[in-house]
Amino acid sequence: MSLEESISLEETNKIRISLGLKPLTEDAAPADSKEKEAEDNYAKKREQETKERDAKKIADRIAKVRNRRELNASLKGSTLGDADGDDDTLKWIKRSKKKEKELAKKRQEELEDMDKQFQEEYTERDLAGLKVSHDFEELDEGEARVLTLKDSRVLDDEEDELQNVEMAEDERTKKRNDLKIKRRDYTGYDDDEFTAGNANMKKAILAKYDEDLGLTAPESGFRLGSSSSPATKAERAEKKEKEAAASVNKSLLSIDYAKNLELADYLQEGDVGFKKPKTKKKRANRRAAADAELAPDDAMEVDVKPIIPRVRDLDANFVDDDELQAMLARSRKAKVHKPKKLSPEELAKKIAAERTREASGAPQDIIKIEDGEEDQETGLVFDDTSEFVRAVGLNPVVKREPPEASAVPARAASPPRRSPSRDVSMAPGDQALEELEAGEVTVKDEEEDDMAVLNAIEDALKVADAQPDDTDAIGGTSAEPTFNSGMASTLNLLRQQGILATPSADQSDRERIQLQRDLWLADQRRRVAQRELERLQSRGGNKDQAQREYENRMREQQEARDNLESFKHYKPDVEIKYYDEFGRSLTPKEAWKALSHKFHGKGSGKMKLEKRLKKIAEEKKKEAMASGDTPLSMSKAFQQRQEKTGQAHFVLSVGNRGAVPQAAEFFDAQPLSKGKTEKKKQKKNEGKPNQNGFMTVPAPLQQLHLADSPAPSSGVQTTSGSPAPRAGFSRISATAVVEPSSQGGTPVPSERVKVAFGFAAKRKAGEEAIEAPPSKRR
Amino acid sequence: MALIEVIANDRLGRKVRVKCSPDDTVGDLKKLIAAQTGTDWTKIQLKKWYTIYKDHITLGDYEINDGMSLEMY
Repeated sequence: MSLEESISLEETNKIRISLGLKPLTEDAAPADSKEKEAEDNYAKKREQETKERDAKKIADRIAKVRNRRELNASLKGSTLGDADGDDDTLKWIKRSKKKEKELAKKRQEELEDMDKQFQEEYTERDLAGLKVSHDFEELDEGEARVLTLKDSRVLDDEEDELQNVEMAEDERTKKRNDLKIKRRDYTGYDDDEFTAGNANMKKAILAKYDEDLGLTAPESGFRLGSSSSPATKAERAEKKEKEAAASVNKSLLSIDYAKNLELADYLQEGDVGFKKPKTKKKRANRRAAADAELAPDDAMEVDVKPIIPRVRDLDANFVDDDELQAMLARSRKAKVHKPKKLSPEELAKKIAAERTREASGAPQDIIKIEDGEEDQETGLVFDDTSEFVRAVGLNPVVKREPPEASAVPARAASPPRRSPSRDVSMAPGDQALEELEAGEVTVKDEEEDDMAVLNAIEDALKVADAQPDDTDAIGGTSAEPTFNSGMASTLNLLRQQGILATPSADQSDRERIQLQRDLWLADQRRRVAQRELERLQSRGGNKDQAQREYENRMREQQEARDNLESFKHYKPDVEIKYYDEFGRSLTPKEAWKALSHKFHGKGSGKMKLEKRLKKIAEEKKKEAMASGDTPLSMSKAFQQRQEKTGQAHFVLSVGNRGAVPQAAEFFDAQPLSKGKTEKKKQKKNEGKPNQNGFMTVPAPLQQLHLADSPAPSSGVQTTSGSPAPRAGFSRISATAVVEPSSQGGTPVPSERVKVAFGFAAKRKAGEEAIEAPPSKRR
Repeated sequence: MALIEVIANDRLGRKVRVKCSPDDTVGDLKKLIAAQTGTDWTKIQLKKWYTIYKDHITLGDYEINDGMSLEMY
């Protein structure tokens, strides 16, 4: 408090004046002014309230009095207590009646007043212009329908519409059913908007999900009291179409085209039918026409018909006319192939016939063969069927057609052909070759092959005839089979010598079966060829459709029967070989496994796979091994080592006492390491040039002695049991073995020095061994 | 009208007693304080705990009575 600075009032006033404030008065101003005010106000309020209360009381009293007076006023008049006995009942009745009447009248008036208020005249005029949302046609005549106001949105401020509830419900259910049945799924046809009529439609996306919200105003609907009759549905649709067409600038055409009538398959009465062609006339024409066409040889055009008076049926269909076509074909063929053609079958038969006539005379055959060849050259088609047929040759003999006599010119064009006269002097090898060719069914060059085959057959038979002459000529060699006659004799010779194995029973069986199969195949082919021939021959005959068909059918039946029969002797030689990914052929078990893996889609696990791979590797090794060697090719490895080192012995392992250090050049493969057998041999002198490489030369020496001592004595040493052979390094236990081989084979001359040392070392080792036998007993 | 004394305390050693009337505004009060302390009246901030007294309101409306102390910052 004492620290407070304070100034006096005067000074304060001075400051206040300087600031512009009112100077302070000394007295404490009535600080309760507000409270006083409040009190005053409160008092006033209370006074006012009391005043109001009083006033209200007075007013109530006045109102009460007035009420009473009014009530009393209605009590005027005679009361029931007043004596009214002067009136008798009649009067009273009249009076009461009157009163009633008056009362009734009063009531009536009141009712009428009320009715009038509600019921103002409501006629059609009031309803004019209201919209009804049904089709005019739907409201049938004669039925009374109650129309109610349709539900509409409040805010849209739409016009009022009337509708019949039931009809609206019907419409709705119908629409719903339609939507349910008709699926507006995507069908792939164009959307509605692409049809010509709806060119102005909005592009709809996923139209099937569009909800029908009912926003579109019903096109169908009419107004009450309106004079214009609304268009019917059909009229409306037409109008719409016309508008659409107009928008697209098209004019609608009617598509009623008189000629586009539906045709029935069957002939109607009035139609023009087909005429059956008359055959008799045509026959006469044909003959004449054929002659006429053959005569003008140069004219290749078929259209040029000779001027023969021929009755022509102008209505005939040229394509379907079989006779005509046959005629034309024949003429064509005649022009192209002037000489008579030999089919392959006929040729085969011819050759068979020729073969049977060989004995009759060689020159004749020659000519005939050559003729045959000539025939071949005139364009016969040869395929492996005919060629094989000829090779196998079990065809029955058929009358041979007379060959055309033609000169026998030199056939330079056919190189493989050799004239039969030269056959005897031909080398056997050639013959063998030819026979091989004949045996194979491959067609390299048709003509050449055919001729070769032909020749081969002829030659073989000829040589067979000539053979006894040959043997006699050579002189006393009939006992000894020679090579000069073909493959068969060669094979026989080999068989006798024992080089070729005689076929086992199984093999011979198979051979027999194979032969039968070949026979069957040949039969089949022959049959097929015959059928072809028949078919070709049957074409161009003068039969009509029905007959031709009948014949075809018969032929097919016959073929089927033949097929069936032929399969009775069918002996197929089937052999299925399976190969794996390495190219090996699989045993049945392996094949089954492979198939099973493929079928199930999963193979073996890791172990099985490794096992399999190991087995395959072993097999390979076995195959790779030489016949005189062990499976691990020890001798080969030893030879390799020998070559490299020039030493004819091996140093075996040391055992636990550490590896034998060897120079790298000695090695084919891995170096020796710990864990080897105890046996060890070493040469000292030889080690000298290589002593750098050797570390423990002195140490193992003793062992050497130990090891060596029993060796010469026993001559046989057993290897210790270090079983695992190192690659490229084999252990040869016996020095006995080593020594002779070392003496025998030291192939490397460059290492001569070493070799010498080796020998020397050997002897030294032996001497040392003798020296120190007692050390072993330590 | 009425004379009241208001104490303005600075909490740093400056304590001033000012005579004023309830009709004065806070700004006038600040001027009076400034005249007594010697600072600039615009630099004075009168507070009570976190209530800052605004310049244009009278002391009577703030109900600052006789003998009340205000904090001067």
